[in-house]
Amino acid sequence: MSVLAVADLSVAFRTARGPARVVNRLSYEVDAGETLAIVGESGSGKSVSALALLGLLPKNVAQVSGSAVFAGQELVGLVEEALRAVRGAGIGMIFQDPMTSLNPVLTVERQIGEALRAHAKVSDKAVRSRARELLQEVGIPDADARLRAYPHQLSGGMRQRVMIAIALAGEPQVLIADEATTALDVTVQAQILELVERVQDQHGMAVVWITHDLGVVAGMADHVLVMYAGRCVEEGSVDVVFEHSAHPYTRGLLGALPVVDDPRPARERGPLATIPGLPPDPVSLPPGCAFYPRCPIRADERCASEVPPLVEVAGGDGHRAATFYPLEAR
Amino acid sequence: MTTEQVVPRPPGGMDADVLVRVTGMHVHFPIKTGGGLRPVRGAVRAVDGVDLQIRRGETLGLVGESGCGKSTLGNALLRLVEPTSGRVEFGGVDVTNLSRRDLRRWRRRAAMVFQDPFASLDPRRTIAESVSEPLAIHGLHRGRDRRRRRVGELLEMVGLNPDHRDRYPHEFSGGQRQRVGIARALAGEPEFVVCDEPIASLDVSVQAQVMNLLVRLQRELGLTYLFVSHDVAAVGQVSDRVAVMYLGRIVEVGPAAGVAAAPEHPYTEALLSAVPVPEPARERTRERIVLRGDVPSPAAPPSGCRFRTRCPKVFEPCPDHDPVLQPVEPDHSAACHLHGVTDVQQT
Repeated sequence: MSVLAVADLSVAFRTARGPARVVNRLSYEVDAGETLAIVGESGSGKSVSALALLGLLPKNVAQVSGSAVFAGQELVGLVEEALRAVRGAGIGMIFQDPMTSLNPVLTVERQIGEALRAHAKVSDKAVRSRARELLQEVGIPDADARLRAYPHQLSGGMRQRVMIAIALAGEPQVLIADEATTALDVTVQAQILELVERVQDQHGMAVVWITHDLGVVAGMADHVLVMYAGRCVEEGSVDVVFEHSAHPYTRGLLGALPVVDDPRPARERGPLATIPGLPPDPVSLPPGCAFYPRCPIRADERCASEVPPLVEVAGGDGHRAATFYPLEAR
Repeated sequence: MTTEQVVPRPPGGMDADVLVRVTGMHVHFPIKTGGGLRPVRGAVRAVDGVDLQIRRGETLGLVGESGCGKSTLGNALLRLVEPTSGRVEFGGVDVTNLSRRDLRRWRRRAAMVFQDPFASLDPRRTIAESVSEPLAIHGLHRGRDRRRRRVGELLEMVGLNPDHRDRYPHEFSGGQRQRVGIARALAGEPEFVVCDEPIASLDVSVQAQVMNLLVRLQRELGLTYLFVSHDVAAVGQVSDRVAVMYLGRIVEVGPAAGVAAAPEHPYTEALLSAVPVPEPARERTRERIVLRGDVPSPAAPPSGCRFRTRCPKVFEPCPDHDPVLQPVEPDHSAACHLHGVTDVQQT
């Protein structure tokens, strides 16, 4: 039973040059307790797709269509007041930069308190004790002193822990993490990954982990969805997508990564695989496959003129790819 | 463990192939309170006692997390920030006290590639103007036609179309701007290039392109690199040797593949284990060493070993003795009491 089901979600931004189609008919489902990773490079539409379903995009420039059903409720087109009830209590979100998402002039206690009061009437005393519990849960030592602290008095890792505490305050069923560890050092990232895994186990939340970091995905995710130019180009279980990539873009991304425990000295390694060129302009997407201009395969005319549908790859198990020529089958 | 020892060295002993030698480097930034009777209230000890050798033709990776002092060290090597104390020798010549004029002349031989190619290029100048500026400063390839030809060569060398020379930085992607930054760094025909987080602001597929380019240029031009990065996997991809920095000090230095396979300092071990590998089956079973707490402030580093407040292997001598970077394998050193208790001489 999925807690969040997104179907044909599209987002277009109004620009002077015409509509920028940033997300194009994206569909996915997440179950309770499951982690779905949405992977892509800058401009692939991964973050915008998450902001869109929570109604966090400016309405005057963003046109959102399609459907996103959370706990039986359609989110696309929902009025602001109803959306506010979903944000926090239903779906929690943490962002890349906790310094800009936290209010610099309010104490940690005030900010967690706001999240607690947003969804229920609670006394000051109850707020304090619940806030203290939440800080302890996210591994912040000396919780009493930290409740009185302002964001600038905390390290980057601590601020991200506070953000997670705020997200947990509403006891959400879905946690969306948008590049939540990108701004952190790797040793701090390891702390935050461990924390998210632990709270997920305890609360049975679904986690949507949006990132460009394929290493983080490999360790965290059950399912992975690879985005390119606003479309899902490949999805499936993390093992299948990483080990039997069917889409040349996925294969290209994985080949471009150096591996930390590669035993060969640098001079004995060949050059990294690269993907030539740049992603297409969302204002003028190519008529066929969006990856066609950079694709090493480019098998025939069809690639240039027809958008390949996202279809099951031989081998099945929900492994799907949007390419006319899946790599494994060749 | 390493083939380094069997390579015949030029006459002059072990050190004859050292291009850059750093001795006792300290870079402290005063903390100013802005008034009162004591306007200076201590110092951020960004680099706090570093000895380092960079060999001709090699890439030395300098890796560490934010605030460890790696970029400050890279800047201090080129005297873009002035060291508080210590010495930098370049090709056997002390460059620490060069006059402004000699410094300018020396800078032709030692260049820098910056992290953010958007911030390091002048948005109002065409890329040809940016790339030819070092030629003008150093009086190279004089004459309009010759200079124009040279700029074309440089752009081609970094994989850019010379016909785009009259475009402005905003017309290029991040990866292309970084190529312009590299062309500009190479304009003076340097021997040594400090690459300061050159791939940090780029997408994965573009990072690979820039790493490949830097490696190719090194081989073609015989360059020596200091590759400063927080990205441990990227450092391993391009570096012959690697130096690991923590809180202003080098805690381990050795052959990159050897350090990655068998780290000798607990911090290196934790750092390597924290970097996820993009292979699900392996990543799920890899043991992650999760360090407790945060990095202490470089204005008040802990007594004794600086890593002791977070070290999973901390033991009795750590609070009282400041470990020396000592050899543990041929060509591989670590600053940890597990290899024998030592103490840094206070100066």
